[in-house]
Amino acid sequence: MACIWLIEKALGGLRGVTRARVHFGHRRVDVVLNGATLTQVLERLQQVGYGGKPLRPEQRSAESEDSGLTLKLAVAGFGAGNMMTIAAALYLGQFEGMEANFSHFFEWVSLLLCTPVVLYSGRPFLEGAFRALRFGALTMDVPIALGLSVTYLWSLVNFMRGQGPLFFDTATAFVFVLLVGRYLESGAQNRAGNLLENFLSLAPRLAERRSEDGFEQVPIGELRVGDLVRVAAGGGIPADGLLVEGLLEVDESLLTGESQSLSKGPGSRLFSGTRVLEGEAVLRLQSAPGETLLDGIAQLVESAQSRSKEGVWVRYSGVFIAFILLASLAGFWWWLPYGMERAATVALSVLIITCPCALGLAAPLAVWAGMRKGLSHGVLFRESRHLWEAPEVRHLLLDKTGTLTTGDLELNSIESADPELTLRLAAACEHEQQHPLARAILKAAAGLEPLTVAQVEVEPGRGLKALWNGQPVRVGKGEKAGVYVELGGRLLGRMDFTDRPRSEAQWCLQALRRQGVHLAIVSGDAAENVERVARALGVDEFAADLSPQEKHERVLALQKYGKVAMLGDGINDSPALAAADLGLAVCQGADIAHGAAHVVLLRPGLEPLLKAFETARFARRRLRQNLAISGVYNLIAVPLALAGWVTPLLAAVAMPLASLAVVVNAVRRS
Amino acid sequence: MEIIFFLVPMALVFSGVALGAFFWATRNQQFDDLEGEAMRVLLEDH
Repeated sequence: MACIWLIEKALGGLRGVTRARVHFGHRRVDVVLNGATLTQVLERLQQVGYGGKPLRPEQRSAESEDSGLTLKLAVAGFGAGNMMTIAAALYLGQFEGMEANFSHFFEWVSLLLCTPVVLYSGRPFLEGAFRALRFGALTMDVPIALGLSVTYLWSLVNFMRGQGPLFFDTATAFVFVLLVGRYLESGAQNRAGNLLENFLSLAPRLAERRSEDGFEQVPIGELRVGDLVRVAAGGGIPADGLLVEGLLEVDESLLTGESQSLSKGPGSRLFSGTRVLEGEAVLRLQSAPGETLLDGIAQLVESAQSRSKEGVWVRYSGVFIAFILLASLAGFWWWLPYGMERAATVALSVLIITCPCALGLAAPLAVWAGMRKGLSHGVLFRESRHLWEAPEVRHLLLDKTGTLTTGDLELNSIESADPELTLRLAAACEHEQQHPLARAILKAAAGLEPLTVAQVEVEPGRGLKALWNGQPVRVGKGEKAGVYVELGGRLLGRMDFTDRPRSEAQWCLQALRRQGVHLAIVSGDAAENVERVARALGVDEFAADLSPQEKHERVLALQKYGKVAMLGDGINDSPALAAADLGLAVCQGADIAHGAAHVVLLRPGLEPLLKAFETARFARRRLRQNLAISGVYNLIAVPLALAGWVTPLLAAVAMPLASLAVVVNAVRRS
Repeated sequence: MEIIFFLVPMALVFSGVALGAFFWATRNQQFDDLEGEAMRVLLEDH
């Protein structure tokens, strides 16, 4: 909370600023300027560690849309609540008899209550329909607006001439129920968004960076790749990096979803947004703030959310709406011989009873429920169609490194006359290096007494050279996944490395196989490594030494036999991921946002893979249920309305029941 | 039962006032920041 104080103080102290007020919930600060320039304000913010970002238009519109919707709902609720008592009095009056002056009074009150509800609360529907018709499109707003305006205007005319039925109560209830549906929808979506903002706020604002004279506090905006940063218990990790010295207990529940403390030693990767529970350490940054894994995830979720949001109401096909309009018109035409009033009542009933259209909500709400469930399990579906693809998948191709295995190499064997010297020399040379092989070597040599080498030089693409006791040492990458060490120009030894399958890989793959998915490993790694992992996991089919293009071709070849999914790392496997019917990638950095994957697994490990398929089946189940509910409802309700057995008020009561059933079915937890 | 002519408008006026208060609160951003304000009491005046 100190941030509120810091920002308001810093900006308030600036000359030419009259007022600065932080809106914590919206991550926004309102500033009233009186002579100061925007540049000065932004510079000042930068100084205290906050970057100003342009307010995205959709962000502001979402905010005002929210409060606008709340107010409209309040008016509609006020109207509908009071209307209910009035309507009850009027209906009872019809049976029991009511003096004319009372009933006329109640009709006046109805008009008074209904008018603001229709004109103010119902405006989004009226405007939406007007916009849609101007562009020649049929959206859900069109029948809603038609039903609403006909109900209201007809009642108004009847009220003025003092005879004929009044439907003010119907119009009010109609608007109220529609708004409740819309409110539920937007509210649930915003909650998911806020969850994300809470994540991002976990990254600290200041960091201790190593400079020439000790550590200094700097805003994280000034951190660069390669900086050494000190972190300690109680703080957060400012940006992704490698632990260089010290030991830490960290909580990565934000990324893994599991709340447990993890021990991190030299060589371990640390992620922005995770919390340090114990210990103190120095890490070398591998990504600048703003380009971390966490930022990548945030970007992804945001873009997926904005895409799913636009679809919910708009995308529904005009066919069904055209059908509603035609049915209502047909009802009108059919009943016309029995009098204008009868015909209009039937047409209205049809219009209202089908309206917010449980059928129209069925698909979007199932998508939304699926995406939300996926997100809570660390699976992000980038578009709704990927949800429908997943249950159809028959073949799953798996990349090995970093997906089936942890990606951390381990020393497998040393082939040398003096294995210990080989390892110690390699460790001495690789001491300052960052690549995975160096980490594996250092890990293996951790228990041995360190040697000291001089004049370490990196020869790009070839390895390292150094001097030890006056003799030249060379450490280089050999064929396959090996490292060789030369001493005095002669080969001292070879080391070879392996990566281990993830602990949960075996049961996850087994579960997939039980679901009838055919598995195969496609890897760019050497044949023996791939074979070892495949055997360990019980996967019979594997291919090694594949280039990204060859993986791509394999996907295409398999597609002849059914839908193909590919699990790979986001960037290298892009062609294969894009070609697959379902491309799944494990999220490893900010660049994932631009990757080709259709589905992103936000948490490490293979469990999210299982969850992805599970989520897709769940969404499909919900879709079928929703279609069944609304289909049955419409099949019963429309003929009844056409037969003239449903009054508009009954329609206005029955209609919400069906659409609320669909909404509740989508929102309820499984 | 003529009291109805007085009671119903009265009820509407009362609930209308409540509705007005809700409008005022929303428009004045009373619901915008539900976390920050609680913390403000801990800060120094400025």
